[in-house]
Amino acid sequence: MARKIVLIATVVAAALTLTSCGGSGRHAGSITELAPTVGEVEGWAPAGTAEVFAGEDLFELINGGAEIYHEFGFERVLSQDYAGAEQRSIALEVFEMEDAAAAYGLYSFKSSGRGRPLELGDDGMLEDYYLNFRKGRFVVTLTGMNTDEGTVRGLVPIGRAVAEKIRERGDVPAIVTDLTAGGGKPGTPFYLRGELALANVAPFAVGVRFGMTEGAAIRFDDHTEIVLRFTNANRARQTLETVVEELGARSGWTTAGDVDDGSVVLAGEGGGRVRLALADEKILVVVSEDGIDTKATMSQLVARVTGVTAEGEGQ
Amino acid sequence: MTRDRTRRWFLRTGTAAGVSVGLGAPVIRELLSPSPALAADNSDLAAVTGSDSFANTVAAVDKIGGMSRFVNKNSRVVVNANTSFKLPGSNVEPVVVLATLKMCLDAGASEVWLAKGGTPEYWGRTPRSSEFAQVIETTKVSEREFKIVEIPGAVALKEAHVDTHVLEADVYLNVSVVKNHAGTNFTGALKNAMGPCPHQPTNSLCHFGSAPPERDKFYANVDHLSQSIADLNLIRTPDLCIVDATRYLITNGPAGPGELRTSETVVAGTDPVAIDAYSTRFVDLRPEDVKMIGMAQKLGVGTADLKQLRIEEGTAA
Repeated sequence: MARKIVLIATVVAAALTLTSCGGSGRHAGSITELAPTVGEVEGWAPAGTAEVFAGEDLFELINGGAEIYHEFGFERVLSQDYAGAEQRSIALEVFEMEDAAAAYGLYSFKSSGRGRPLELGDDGMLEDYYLNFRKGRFVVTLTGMNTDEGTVRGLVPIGRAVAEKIRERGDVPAIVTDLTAGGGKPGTPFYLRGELALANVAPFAVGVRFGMTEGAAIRFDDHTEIVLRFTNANRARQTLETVVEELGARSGWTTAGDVDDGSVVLAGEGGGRVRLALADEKILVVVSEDGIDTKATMSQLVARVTGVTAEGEGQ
Repeated sequence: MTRDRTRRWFLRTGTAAGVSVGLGAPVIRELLSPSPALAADNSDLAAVTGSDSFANTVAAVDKIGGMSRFVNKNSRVVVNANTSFKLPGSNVEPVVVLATLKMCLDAGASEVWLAKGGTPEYWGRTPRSSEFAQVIETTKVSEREFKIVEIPGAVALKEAHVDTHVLEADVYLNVSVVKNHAGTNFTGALKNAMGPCPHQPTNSLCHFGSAPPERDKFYANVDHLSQSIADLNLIRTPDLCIVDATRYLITNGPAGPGELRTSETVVAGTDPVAIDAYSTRFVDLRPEDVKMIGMAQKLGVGTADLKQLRIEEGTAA
């Protein structure tokens, strides 16, 4: 009886482990096992040897581009080339991240949002000459070294072969679903884990130390909406004060101060506007380049993220 | 002029107390050797557009005085070309490097070195590599041995490990690709100064500011990275910069894959700050959007004020 209880406990514990990281299941084998081998994908075969880079060694693979991968929580990457007919070549990269949210974040940055969505992994998108998909803690990138049709046709079958080997799945981070609640624009909203990703979404933030725990952003044609989460409301308030002071001191920026909806507006040269507001442990940001009505946009953003309208009614 | 340029470099590096490399011999050799005068009508910066990147490269260099302005007979040349990335739009097009190497050899260089790269896989990306097999065979590739150099005047990076060939060559050429960069927004000639340095410790210090165990996590500090790149450019200003804007990444740089743009343009100049300031247009930026440009200008590496320069834009003949 005791042995049976231990066995059940072990199974339950294993199941809990498998469902951690906002996803389900977990690839337990070597990352090299995820690379399709000879005969797995018709017309394509591995060329050269697979390489695995872990931690800071990522710089050996992608040189100066590794920072943002590390910011999201990079663990290791598998790199393997595939050769097809007529000297066609495809590069496979399988990035293993620390959790499914990190994988979503990296995927959101690697996808243009303008490609063709694929039913591949948890999310997939085919671009002109490459595709990205995410599944669980993994982000998979396949790049045609040539942009001809024959090469691009090889991307999806190799991708499917990799996806079948990854036994875990991952959810969209909650902060992203909060931001896009009520419908967003087509494409991939960004998930953020640090300032580098934030600066890539909103250049006003370059050089500003926010120190958020996570964030989400979505770009529209005329503005960008951002939600940043902090450890607590006090930390969010302190950060907002520091950021407003820092940005207001920058050349070309003026602070409009507190406005009637409780938010703070900063105006940059050339008509750019940054409106920031507090919502409990979050800072909400609306960035506009061409002077749209950021007050109305902020009001809608507050309602989406907090469920409270400007009139104080729950949604 | 070469002589003036070399004197500037000599004065800058020669004042560095404790510089641990033998800088004297090549500098003195170049100072003593005759240098072709720069014709009064040469441009400071040239951008040449056309369907043949090889021809664009030659024409751009010709418009600023031709390779013989920079490479004397029997000189030893090192070419720091960004060839280490893999995916489309992330590297200098091989034909641009081939054109550069051939011009160096034609000008009478006794030795031409690549600071890194030049693998068969890289050359295999262009069908023209067989046409220039002799150039590829003649070109040597650095063994990647480094010396520690102090950087007087540096703000963030006080010393660096630098490829000995870059330090000791008579002529130093910087051949970069313009593209988006997730950290610095933009990469071109200035950032290519990281090419002759090893990741550990120098480039890691540029990226993260400190090495383990002091650094307990990866934190990308763009200001620090930008300043470190500006500092690296104090070590040796290139004699000639070539920026490849043939086909390049405008998103997801520097490694890609990302959105590619084709401008079929090659830019040449002697000032890495100016050539980067000019090249920001290819990725829809302004010079002031790229911190390392302003920081390098402040250090005296060059000027971002393009109004001061004679810029020639044209097509290859």
